[in-house]
Amino acid sequence: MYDYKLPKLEYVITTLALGLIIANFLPSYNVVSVFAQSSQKIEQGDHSKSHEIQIGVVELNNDRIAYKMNNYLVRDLVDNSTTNITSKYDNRILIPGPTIVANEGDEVKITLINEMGWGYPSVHTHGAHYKITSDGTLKELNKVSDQAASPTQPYTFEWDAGNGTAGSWPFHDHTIGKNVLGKSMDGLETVGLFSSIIINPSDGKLSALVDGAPTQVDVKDIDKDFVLFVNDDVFWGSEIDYAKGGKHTQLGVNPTLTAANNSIVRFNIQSIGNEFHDFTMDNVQWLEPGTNTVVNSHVIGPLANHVFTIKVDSNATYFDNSKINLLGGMKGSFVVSDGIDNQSFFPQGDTNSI
Amino acid sequence: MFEIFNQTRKWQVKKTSILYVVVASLILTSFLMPSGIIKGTNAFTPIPQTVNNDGKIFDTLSSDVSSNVTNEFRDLNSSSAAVHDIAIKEQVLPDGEPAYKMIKHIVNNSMDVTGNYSDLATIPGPAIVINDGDIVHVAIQNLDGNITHEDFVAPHPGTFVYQDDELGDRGLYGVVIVNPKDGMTEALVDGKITTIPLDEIDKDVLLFMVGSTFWGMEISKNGTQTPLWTNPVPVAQENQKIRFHVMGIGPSSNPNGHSHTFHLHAHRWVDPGTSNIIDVKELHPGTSHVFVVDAGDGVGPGDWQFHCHVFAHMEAGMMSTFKVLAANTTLTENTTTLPSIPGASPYHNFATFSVNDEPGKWFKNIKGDISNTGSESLAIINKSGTVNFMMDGTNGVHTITSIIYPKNATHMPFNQMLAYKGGAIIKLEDPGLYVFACSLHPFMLAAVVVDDPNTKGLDLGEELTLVNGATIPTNSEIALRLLRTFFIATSPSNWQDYSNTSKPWSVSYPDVDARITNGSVVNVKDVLESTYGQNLTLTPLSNPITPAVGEIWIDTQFEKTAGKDKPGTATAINGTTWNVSKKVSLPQIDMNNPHNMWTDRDQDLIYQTQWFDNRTTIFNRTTGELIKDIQVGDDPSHVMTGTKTDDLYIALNGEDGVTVISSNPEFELQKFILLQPPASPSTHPHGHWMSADDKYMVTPDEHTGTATVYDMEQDKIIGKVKTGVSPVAVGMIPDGSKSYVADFFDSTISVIDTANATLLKKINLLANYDPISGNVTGPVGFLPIQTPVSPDGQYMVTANTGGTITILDTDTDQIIKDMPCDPGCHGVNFGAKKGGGYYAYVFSIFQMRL
Repeated sequence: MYDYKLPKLEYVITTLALGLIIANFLPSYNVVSVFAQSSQKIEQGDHSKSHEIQIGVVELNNDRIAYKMNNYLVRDLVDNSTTNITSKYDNRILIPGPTIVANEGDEVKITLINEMGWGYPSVHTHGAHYKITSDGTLKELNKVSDQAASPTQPYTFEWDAGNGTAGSWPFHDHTIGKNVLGKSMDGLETVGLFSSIIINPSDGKLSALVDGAPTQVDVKDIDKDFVLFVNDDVFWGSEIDYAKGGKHTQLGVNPTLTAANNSIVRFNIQSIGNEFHDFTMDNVQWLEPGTNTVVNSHVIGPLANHVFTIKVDSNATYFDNSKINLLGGMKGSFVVSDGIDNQSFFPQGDTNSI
Repeated sequence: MFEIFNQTRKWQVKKTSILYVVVASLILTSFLMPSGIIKGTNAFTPIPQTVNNDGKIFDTLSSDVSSNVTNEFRDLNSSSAAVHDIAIKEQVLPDGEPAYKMIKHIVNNSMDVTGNYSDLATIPGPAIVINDGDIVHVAIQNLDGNITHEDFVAPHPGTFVYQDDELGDRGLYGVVIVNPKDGMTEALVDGKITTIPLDEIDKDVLLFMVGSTFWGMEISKNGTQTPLWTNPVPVAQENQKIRFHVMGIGPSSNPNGHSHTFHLHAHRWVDPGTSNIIDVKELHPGTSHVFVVDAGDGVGPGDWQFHCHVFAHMEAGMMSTFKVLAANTTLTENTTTLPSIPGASPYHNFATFSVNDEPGKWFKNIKGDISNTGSESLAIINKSGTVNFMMDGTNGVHTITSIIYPKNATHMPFNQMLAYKGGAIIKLEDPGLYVFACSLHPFMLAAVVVDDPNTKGLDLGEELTLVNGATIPTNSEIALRLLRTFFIATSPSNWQDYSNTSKPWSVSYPDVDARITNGSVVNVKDVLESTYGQNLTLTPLSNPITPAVGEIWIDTQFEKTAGKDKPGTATAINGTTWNVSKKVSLPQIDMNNPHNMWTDRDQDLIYQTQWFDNRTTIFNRTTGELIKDIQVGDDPSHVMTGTKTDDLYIALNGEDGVTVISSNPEFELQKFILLQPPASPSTHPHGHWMSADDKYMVTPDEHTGTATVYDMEQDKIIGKVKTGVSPVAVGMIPDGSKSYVADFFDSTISVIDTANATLLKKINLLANYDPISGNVTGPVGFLPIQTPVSPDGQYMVTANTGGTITILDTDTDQIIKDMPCDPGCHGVNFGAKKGGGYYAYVFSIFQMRL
């Protein structure tokens, strides 16, 4: 039923040419298998999990607001055992908010705590299942209740990563139109209250472009997840490094992304704000999601997502293919390391000066 | 010779700068790819355009019905390919919008299916439902009575937008739904991608994304079409299969397109042609997106919101809900599906404004002039009526901002966090006067009187709240003054005409009774005429005795000329003779609302911003010849050059910063100075100023109510100063030490210590004005705009929209004088006087008087 197109000839040629260039550039020691390090990758056991998460909403400088990971408990729904994974998160830069990684079949409970002393933020997720009481909207819209956290009353949102919800989805504030406590700020989703949930498919399989060819890879083979939010003026980034036990690192604005050569990485491109952007990478190609079409750019609009998995084989630049936004610096590097110690570049500047 | 900017020009990022971090970090060494070279960059994100301007309506389908296609469409003559004879008619709805009505639809010369369609002209127009391979002959009766014919063949299954080239953003659009012959369709059921028979679809819901409004229609299982109008509520029962057809309409008139993202809460679907599961989809103009949802699958019943996820569109009202009822909902009578709930319709208590670049008619009620004043910017509806705005005639970005509304009115204030392309829709519940403006171009005005038909006179309300939070009674002088300003600004026939000063100036006011404070009823025309007079004598123009040095250049922004659609010229005056010596209109680029200009170091060139567009233009000062037209970003407002570099610094009023273009002769975009940290609220700077030593640039950030002090040498923001509401222009002492910001809506001047980015003082230009009685006891400046400081640093001169000129002594920061000006008094700058000293030239945009 799915019409998997063959890669266009021009892409094949480009890929071949690139391969040759790369082959010429690669020193021989670079042929190192990173799959040997794959002992602590994404866990996909038989047991469904409950993700019991406490997220705070805090005010940053320059009228920006962010989600902050306070506590993250993973409960095994079969044997009831729990693991606290809060320490895997990084609180240095709070935009985008913490990424949640779950499997199809899991449940997520997020208790949102308003730590600002004003306002009425919420969480509305894309992709997952939830009842109308976890919509994250206000009563005038959902006809049921105001679903947001006041400074004194937290709100708990319950999601279900049911069948058909696999994917990488944004979640964000959705209490547009409500100004409380005299502070007039609408649209918290545009000033920092956004993040992602990655729901890995229960069959453990992902389409990927490996050595120029569409291939199925296992979720367990992913070495890194990059989350890149395309915002109106910048990219906001974060990563999860499964070679380091699933360590989350906040990468800030227009970050340099690093990966080991030959490793498998997933780009979770999300978008928020008002503008459409032409997300483009030179030297890297991928599969248009849900197809076998090889592309290296995609016009993305607010809250759409674009997710692809590749085997890493060359340095690249990612950018918004718009002269105006490029002048504003809307680009970053994708840097391939030798495969021994891949690590992230911390962006210039500290948490709140970004 | 001139060179039009080449969009496909290669643009390169220096490899060294991209890789700097990498190299410095010493992590990468041996195998750096020559990456970081970005080629073929577009000026803006390219938005695919589907609909052609070919004069045809059904141009997204194959129009080739001739015999030579019969090979391709082999079923043409077989019994399975039907032939449809269709007649549709264009008709004007009560709000002034055009719409299509189905007159006749006959299948295979025998079966009349006209009864499936609404018997009204509807927006969207009738959905023509056919099968793959069918042939369609359509007769279209145009508004002028002419009939045109189009034929098409359904090329393959899908939903195809049909749209009029001219009025296709406003109401003349619809779809042709081509069903596959096999009668099967893809669906996501119980979370799995599957194929179901079309006859298991419980209803088709059509949603057209237009401006910032959804226009809907539904097609029931038996084929009956029901218009659902604006922001409707489609209704389904849990686990019913609903086929959504979502269409992007635009406005497509904008040169860089205008797209939407559709999102439905708590539902997922298959992105057609892929196995990707999505819940948001980009809709570019003229495109459709069709998917089947399993209503409430995995989430249950609820009022599930759907909306455009472009944030400003959401704020502007582009949302509604999909009502999913429990599966066991009792159905009334014999219906198998529940009817959806229509939204507000143009047939009832509805007004539509087209937003465009036309002087005076920026917000144009498409019913035209309803008050006999020449103003087309007024609408009258009853309480709980709906107002719809559509940015279909502008190349710029705007906001739809309530600047006046009845105190405590529902849904007020209405605003967006940033300027955008789109529209707005709002329900006005409470009686009274509402005035909307674009917050970037605040003379763009729309007034809506919401009337309670049970009271005498048109209701203006007891008290009105202004954009800066102040509340005034409707019987106050300031309310009258605002009303008068509205009828002058929005009616070019009410502008003073200095080309014939023997004719007295009269202003047409509406001859209508209005209900104001305490329920008293007054005649608007009588009150305005008795307060401000009528048939006023215009003082004949005269020239100064002492000549000026050189030329005086003025942006005659609203001047219309032959040979182009958009308004505006640049005008030069000879400073010796005081005669107009040059007019530059640049029809070859359709120069659009030229707003502010500067010159190069040698004064050979003029740099010209196009405020309602995204371009800045360079022309030869002597010959008027076009040299370059550069896309710089949305709504470029003011331009200056650096004294050291001669580079151009252009404030982008529709964006968040200032763009820099290299000096003559390259004129390449070389930098964008962001005036806010990422994800902070949008600044929208308007009329910046730079110090003579290229040390400081101060921008008035219209949207955030701040002035940003930027260090040009160190390329960093020194600080931000809170100003009044809507700062529009900056003046500066020559040594840069002190800056003045005109706060438009607050009628104040914020005085800033530039180096420390601190507020020294706020000067209230209305201190000598009693807003209730109108008594004036000293100099008054109502709605200040441009505010430069004289080259000797001694005086600041401010042009006030309300019709005065304020002069301030910069030593004491005290107002020392005010002078009369015209309504729409706007631009000021200084020029040398022969023999020494300076003139301040003050320009009134509505009357084009200097």
